[in-house]
Amino acid sequence: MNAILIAQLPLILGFMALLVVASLRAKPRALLSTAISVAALGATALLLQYRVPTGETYFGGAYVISVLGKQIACLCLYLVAGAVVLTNGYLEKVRAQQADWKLVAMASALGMVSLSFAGDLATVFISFEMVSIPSYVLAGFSQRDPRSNEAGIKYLLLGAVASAVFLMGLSFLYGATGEMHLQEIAGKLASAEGGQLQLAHIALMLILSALFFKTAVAPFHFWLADVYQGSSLAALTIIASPVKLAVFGLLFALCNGPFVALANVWKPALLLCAGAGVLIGNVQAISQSQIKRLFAYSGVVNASFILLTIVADAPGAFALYLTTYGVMTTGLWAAIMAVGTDHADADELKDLSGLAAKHPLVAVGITVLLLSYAGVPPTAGFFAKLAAATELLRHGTELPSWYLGVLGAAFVTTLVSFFYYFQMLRQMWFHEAAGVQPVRQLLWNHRAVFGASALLLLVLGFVL
Amino acid sequence: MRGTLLSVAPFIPLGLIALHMFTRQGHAKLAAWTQSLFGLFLAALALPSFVSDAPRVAVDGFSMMITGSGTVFKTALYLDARNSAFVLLLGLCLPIIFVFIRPRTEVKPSYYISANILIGSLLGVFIANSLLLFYLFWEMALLGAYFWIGLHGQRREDTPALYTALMRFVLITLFGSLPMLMAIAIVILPSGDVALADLGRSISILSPELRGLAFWGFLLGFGVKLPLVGLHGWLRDTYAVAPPACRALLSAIMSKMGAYGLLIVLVPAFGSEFGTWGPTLMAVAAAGAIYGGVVCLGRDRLTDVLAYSSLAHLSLVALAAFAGTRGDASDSSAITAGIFQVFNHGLIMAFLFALDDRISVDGRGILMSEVGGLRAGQGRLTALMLVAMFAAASLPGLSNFAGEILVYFAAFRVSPWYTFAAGAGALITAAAMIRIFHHLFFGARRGNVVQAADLRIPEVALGLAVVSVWLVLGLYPMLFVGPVERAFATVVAGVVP
Repeated sequence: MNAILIAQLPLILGFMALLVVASLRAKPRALLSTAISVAALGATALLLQYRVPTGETYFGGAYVISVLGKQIACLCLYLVAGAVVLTNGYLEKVRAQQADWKLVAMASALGMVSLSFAGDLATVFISFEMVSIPSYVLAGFSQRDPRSNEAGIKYLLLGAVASAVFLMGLSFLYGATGEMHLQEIAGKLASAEGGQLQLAHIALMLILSALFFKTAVAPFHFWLADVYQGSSLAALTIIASPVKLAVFGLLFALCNGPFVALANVWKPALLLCAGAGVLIGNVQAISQSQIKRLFAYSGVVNASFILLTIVADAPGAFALYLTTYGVMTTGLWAAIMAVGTDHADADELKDLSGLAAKHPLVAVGITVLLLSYAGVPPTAGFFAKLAAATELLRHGTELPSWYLGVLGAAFVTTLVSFFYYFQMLRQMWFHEAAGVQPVRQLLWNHRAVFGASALLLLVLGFVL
Repeated sequence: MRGTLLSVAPFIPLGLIALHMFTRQGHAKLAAWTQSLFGLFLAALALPSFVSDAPRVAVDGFSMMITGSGTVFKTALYLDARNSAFVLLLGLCLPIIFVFIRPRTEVKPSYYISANILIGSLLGVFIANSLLLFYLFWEMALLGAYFWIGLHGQRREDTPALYTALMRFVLITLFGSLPMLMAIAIVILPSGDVALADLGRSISILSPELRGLAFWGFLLGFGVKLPLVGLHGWLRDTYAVAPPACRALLSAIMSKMGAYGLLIVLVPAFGSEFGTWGPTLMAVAAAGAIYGGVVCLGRDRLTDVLAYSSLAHLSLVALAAFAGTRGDASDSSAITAGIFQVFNHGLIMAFLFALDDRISVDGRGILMSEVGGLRAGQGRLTALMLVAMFAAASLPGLSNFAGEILVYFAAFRVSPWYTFAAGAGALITAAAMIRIFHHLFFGARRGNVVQAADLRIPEVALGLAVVSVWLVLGLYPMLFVGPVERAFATVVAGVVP
């Protein structure tokens, strides 16, 4: 049996086990489904890491195992596991079914693994949909919440358009090259000319548009804030973090794989979007008073930095940024879950008022997360941004001369980002609690995930 | 032995943080003792550098690979006479600040925790021997100051809005430090994290455009912290809202981060850029001295006068830096004069801000137009304030005079006119300081300020010890200047490990 199938087996078996657990009574269901999910996700991640040889191809080239692919797949699996742990004690609040929610999350994880190793156009599209469809379900999972329904429908409709565009791009690419395998497409594109090349350019633009939509790269980010606002925090731990990271992984693999011959087209395009992202994202984030919307726009800014690492063709810096972003985001949602009341999440920035007085350790943890978002040393956010900048400068000679302008804009607008991140710090540390707020009992799982995130962010930038 | 002590030094503030976390009461007294002892430790660590045959101390620390970028992060530290001046200054200021300035009511441990984050970071900036470590401490200092001011700043009707002032401080500071980060990214690109002494070598292989970008990036970062005129927008309001001890530390030490960057990091490495831009920057420095002096004349509040006198005096430090090594790389007289002036200014400002805080019971700003004759109630404080004011005004025989004269000598060789202009600025500042001192302390008692008790004998003794430092260095500046010049010559000769 091939190694990739064995590696995914725990995930598939876990999925099937969850189907059984979903029919059990409510009480054992929550803990049992969490245990099964975490075990399955963890086992798959470990098997991928240690049992699947790098450089191998499987299923006739449908799966190609690369170092970066393994890193991204494992990262996504760990993040989904973190998300699953977080849902204990939270899903009841949003009246969602424990086992069902985890089933959807596991299905999404399976898609993420496939997407990370996709070696041909068919696998790329199927994996893309395997990641997308569960996201739509998760966004609208809280059936009794109209905002969640709105988010789900909005995400579904716009996502369907993106999928259609993506599929059209893939078919154009097949039309231009006559190949399904990404490695062979790369060879064909290197020697393409005339109409074939034009078709490839159109395919590239369509594919980039779809992936930019999915990863909320500016100016394709218009849906993000609304979907974030309507989704529950549990859904955001999947949508805002591992889903995005897996699609970014595909973007990196496509740009620096089959599309490497068209670098003179996509590199300026990515740089342009990165520049637009840091400007638009930061400016829009300033005026936000809601936590989810603020971090939606912060996500647009971070996506821009990730684009810079793709332009620089720097897998190390790319992986560091993805890891940092994933840990930061999961940690942040965990923290926001932890500080909500029994009936409502902390929604507005002012809901964090006086947090330092109530829960000093939580405030310290959120401070670390925010400093990492802002890129303050010694947090991983700083090293991730530094790695992105140095790698871009290292490859500056291959880029249009205005790349320095984009890099400069990224640094200057970071200044703007300090404004809104420090507004949050201000609310937590310098403001008294607004009115009498019911204090929620901090749950062990929230504390564990968010504490681990904060600690990770302090050490992630370094490898001894 | 000194190497071990140097390695331990940055961790001591962490220990002090832990101490305050687990102490229930009496934080002010505890801080007065522990910070004084820490100050003495730093002084003992730095002083041997001023003995003629003391070797340079270098600690390599450990290196770590930054994930993803292939860049090695080094935790190297160093100590020679140049940065010992800054460490010694920090060591001497700590007892002054924490003995003289105590919070008026019992404060939460966060006051001392954030203070120690700031102090540890300041020390780290002065002893770091790698660019990334230097930047790490640089930003940590901002965080310490942010929390110290934000949590314990002054929210009174006679001060600006606390958070507005604080945010301005943070954003303007970052307006400097982010370009500096870009400069660091450019410099570490070819060869990874570099030692400060190797900066010149690292930038010599960069393209002219990148080199230019790095130069302006560093200059902005250091210029905001100093501050240079035009980049001083944070100065007044931040000083107004900061807790008194923080204000003294900001003026005495934190501003010296910028001076350290200019004198020890930037000028020795970017000789050719200073060849081109030196005169223009000297004009900016001279303008800062005049601007600071003129604004001092127009201010009514003692704290504001001290703040703007700081701008004027630090412009003289900038003048020395920009006069730098133009023409002759082995001539370190300007940089040495700048470092000497940094030391003098820091000690004087810590002392002046400490005494300023001790005038009234409630710590409100004292207005010259409303208050007078304070001498009657605080004879000892008045006497020490008088000496400190004279020291700030560069009275011959005190160290600041020697420092200023050395700056003028060095700058004069490069540009007599700018030197003259800066001298005029310093003169106006001196006049403004003596004027406000005269109005506040002499004449008939005016105003309804409730004066605090006069200084106690141990405090007077501490004050006299500070005055004796000014006297000794004023009469024999070579005690300080000689070792710094020798250390600089060692760096220029390229024999630094």
